[in-house]
Amino acid sequence: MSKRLPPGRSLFIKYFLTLFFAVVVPLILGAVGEAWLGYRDQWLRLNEVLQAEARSAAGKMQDFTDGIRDQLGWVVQFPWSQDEDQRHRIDALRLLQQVPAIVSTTLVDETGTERLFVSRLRVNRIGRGMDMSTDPAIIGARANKVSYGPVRYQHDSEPYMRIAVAGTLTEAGVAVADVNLKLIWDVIAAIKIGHTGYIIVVDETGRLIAHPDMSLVLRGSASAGDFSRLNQMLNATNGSAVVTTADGGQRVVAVSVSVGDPGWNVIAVQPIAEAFEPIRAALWRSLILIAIGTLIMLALAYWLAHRMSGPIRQLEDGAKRIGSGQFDHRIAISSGDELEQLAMRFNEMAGELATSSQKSERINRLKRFLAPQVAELVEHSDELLDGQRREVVVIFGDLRGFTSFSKRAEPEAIMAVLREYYEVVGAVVTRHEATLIQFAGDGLMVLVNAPVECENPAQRAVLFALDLQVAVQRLASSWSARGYAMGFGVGIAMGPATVGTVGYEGRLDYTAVGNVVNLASRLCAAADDAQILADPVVAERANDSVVLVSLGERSFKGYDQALEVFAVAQSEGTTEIFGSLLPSPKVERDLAEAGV
Amino acid sequence: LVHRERIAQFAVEHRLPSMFGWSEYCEAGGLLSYGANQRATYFWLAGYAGRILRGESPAALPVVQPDKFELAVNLKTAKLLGMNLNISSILFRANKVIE
Repeated sequence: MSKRLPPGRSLFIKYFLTLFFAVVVPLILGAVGEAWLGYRDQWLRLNEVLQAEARSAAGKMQDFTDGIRDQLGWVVQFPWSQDEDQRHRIDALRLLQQVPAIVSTTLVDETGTERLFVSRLRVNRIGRGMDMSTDPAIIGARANKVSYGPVRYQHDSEPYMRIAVAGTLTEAGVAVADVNLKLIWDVIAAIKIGHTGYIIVVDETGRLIAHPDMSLVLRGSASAGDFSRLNQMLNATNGSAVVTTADGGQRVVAVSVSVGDPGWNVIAVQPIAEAFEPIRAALWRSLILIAIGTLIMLALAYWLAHRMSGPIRQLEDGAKRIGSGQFDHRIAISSGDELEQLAMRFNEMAGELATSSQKSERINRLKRFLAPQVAELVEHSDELLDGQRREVVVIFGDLRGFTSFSKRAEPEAIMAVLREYYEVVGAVVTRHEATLIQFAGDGLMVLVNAPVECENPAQRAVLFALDLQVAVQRLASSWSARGYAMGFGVGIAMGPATVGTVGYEGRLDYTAVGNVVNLASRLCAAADDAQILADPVVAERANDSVVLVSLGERSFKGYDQALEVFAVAQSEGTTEIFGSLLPSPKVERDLAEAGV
Repeated sequence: LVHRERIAQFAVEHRLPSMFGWSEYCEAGGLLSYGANQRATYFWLAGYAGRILRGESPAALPVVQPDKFELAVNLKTAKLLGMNLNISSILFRANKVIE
């Protein structure tokens, strides 16, 4: 058999879990939802911020190259003529003065011949006359006015780019400037996204042009792989943010924006730790709230479950005690809710049970003088036993010759005879559902139609009397075989009588009081052995089923008028017992004794 | 560099125009100097020293070439030498003019 929890525990656990989950699950769902939405919002916001930063940086890159382009435009305003070399030289020197990023400038005339070379690092040359017409920068500038060369790395370290600008007049030639892109660092290093976010610039092949940590740029192709991968990844996403691993294994969020003319990419990078700092704080907040909520709910659920299951256990205990017969047990619950009401009902029920058990005790007492069927009936209507006046049939019977027998016989014999007699009488009373009022020595008194009403009481009483007479006569014949000569006479009378319980606490008897009782007693006394005498009321009522023979009028003690007396005729089966229906001389004599 | 003033004085006394690689010489009385800004170089130097002390491998640190070059002119010295620099293109190209 599987181990079972005690019922009270399992209810407690059920309540506890239900209450607990009813609050904690929505709490967690809410927090998860909030976290998810927060994450999404943060992601969108981050995307926007990084894009804005990258776009602004791209704008600055554009300004940087545009500035150089515009400055170059100044030196290609005048056409080349023989004496203009000096003037161009001063223009070129001014340009270098003006734009720190330009390391050297070459001025080429309309034929593509180098006329002037001015440099910060090398010796200036004038009129060297080298043919540069096939230089891609010159060709590009002639075609588009401006050409941006590819980024090249001097000694695989410093990024340089050539920018060539052609003058509005073809005769003005072309200016080619060698630009040190390291100077972009000044622009890039000034941009900070949040606290740790930064901007990097890569060329179209993904090589680093600018990075806040300049040495990464100068390291050349050694660190090119990482950034080229990042660049490719960002190009694939088409401008939206990606999470990736940056140099140094840090997880970062990055967004790329391209700079129009030189064809570079500006990448805004922010470490994920900082990027999601606000949402992380929010997450921690909700986690702490969940934890606190869970703890509160644990305590609350424990308390509530205890409060709910506690009274139920008390009720169970109370019900067990009441069930085992402790009707005075009362369940004390003062929770002020339905459970308290339930406990009150239980207590009322206990009270009712106590009353009902008292009642059944009383019914057990009643069964001593009622047939069991009648007792059941009485059980449900207490008022039946209340005093009332009603039409009853009273039957008296007693043994003839018992007095003289009792004088002679031993007590044991007397008791044996009486026991047999009572047994027989009791059986007949039970069979006929009559009410045995009393045994008094050899006499007995039986009521029909009280306390339970029945149909045709007179007839029932006569049939009962016949049955009784047959049974007792059979007994009497066994007694006479033992040498005890005894007979049995019965008297029946019908009329109104007062019936009800009389007595005192502890001893209650149901009895009938009235003329009819006396009359039945008188008739019994007047009856011969084996004779049943009835009054005119019985005779009239029971006429149709039983034959009654009138014995003429008799007068009885206590009665003013003489009364017609009837003898119940024997039926077919009782012929030998009721030998004579006519009054014998003995009856005459008895009647004379009993009568007036 | 320690004896820059003596060098400058010597040049002036012998009426020799002097030219140096660092502007510090020019400030001390040299006529001209052209070269990278030494102070800026030392800032880079301090940064590299810090990175090496923090554990970076010196081999991983790239060589940084100077990108700011300056031309310094000491007009006082020029006057002492009896030169008029206003007629040359030197002055407008100068980043630093000491009067």
